[in-house]
Amino acid sequence: MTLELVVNGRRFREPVEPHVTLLRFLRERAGAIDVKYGCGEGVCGACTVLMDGVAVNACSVLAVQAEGTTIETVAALGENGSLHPLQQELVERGAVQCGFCTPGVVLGSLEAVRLGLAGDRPTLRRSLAGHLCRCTGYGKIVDAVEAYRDREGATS
Amino acid sequence: MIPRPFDYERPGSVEEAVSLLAAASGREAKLIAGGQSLVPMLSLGLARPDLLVDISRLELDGIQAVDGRIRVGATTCHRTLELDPGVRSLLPLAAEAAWHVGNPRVRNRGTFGGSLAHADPAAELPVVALAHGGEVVARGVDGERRIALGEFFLGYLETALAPDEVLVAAELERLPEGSGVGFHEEAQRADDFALACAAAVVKPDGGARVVVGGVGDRPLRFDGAPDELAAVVEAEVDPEEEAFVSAAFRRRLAVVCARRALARARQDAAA
Repeated sequence: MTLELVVNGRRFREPVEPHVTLLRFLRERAGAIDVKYGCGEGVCGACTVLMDGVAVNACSVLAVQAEGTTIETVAALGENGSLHPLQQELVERGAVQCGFCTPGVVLGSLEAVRLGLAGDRPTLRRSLAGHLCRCTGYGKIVDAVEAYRDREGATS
Repeated sequence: MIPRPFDYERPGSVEEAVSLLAAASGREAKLIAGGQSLVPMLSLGLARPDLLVDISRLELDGIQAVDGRIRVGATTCHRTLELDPGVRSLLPLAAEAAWHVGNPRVRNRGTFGGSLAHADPAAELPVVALAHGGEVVARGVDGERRIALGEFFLGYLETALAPDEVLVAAELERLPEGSGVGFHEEAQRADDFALACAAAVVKPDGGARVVVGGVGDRPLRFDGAPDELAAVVEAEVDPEEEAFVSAAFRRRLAVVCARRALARARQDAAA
């Protein structure tokens, strides 16, 4: 099948076999290696991308199912090489160690904040379920997202 | 792992989907919507279909009240059940339970109809559907067929759907005015499969119902007095012994889930 979709503003139109997952397409054909292959079964959150603005696990979507959509990966964030404010908070608070979960954490957290599902700490922790991090113990990640949420709340 | 190759069709209507399934004779054809169970199963080699028929774009989503029932379209995603304010008033039990399904990304894509048709005995939404009761609406080559929810789940990943039928909606019984509902789940990790879960309904006439999931090959429904149901669950469920979860522990969890769901339902009814 011919697949047409937009990845981080770049339009792709190319043949793809139905059994290729969106994750594999993004990494191998679209050069989006900021999307990480973790578990491959929808559990770890490392492959989180926004598909038409909605967070999905790219490993659990077939590329052909993304036909006509707009995909944003973490590389779409920030301007002119600068970090997005949430990324800045994560860096400053030591919430990035090996960094493998970070692209997913960033996109998942942004969705949680946007939907108002990061209002208090228990809700925020619940919203981050399914982003597995083996380094930080999560505390610093939650701190960083809270700081970003408060900063956004103060400016909006 | 990389899934084994298969053919893929994206029909423009339910009729077309049914025709594709019916024409598959001999080849294994499967429907895909959100794919949140199926795509991981493909990647793990647990499902090896010859053909996937994608119904995710057929606009079968939406929730509406019809004649004392609530019709939930097949491709209504879990996130809608979880977050839509309308659902919270129409189907509070589904809203409560949807929150326990997978993680937010799974809920963004996973569908209500997919969860029913997949019939994982540990899944939350089959438990919710059975707690309401009502019918599954399926379309096949001979037109529409209605299957009572009580007769829909036949066993592990097995339902009363024929191979050429498409589940288009479920029509759930509306609970009597003044009913209370509750849901409780125990799992090893926050977003993991349920070791056991229970949905409870306490009705204003004093009757109650509890449905437990994860402790048999399908969700199990029990009706009776609210005080007695937890004991009924304890006597009736017969979970299998597994490597890390003994049968006795799982039975115990089922009783705990039933009791807590019933307690919540009572509180909800009183509120």
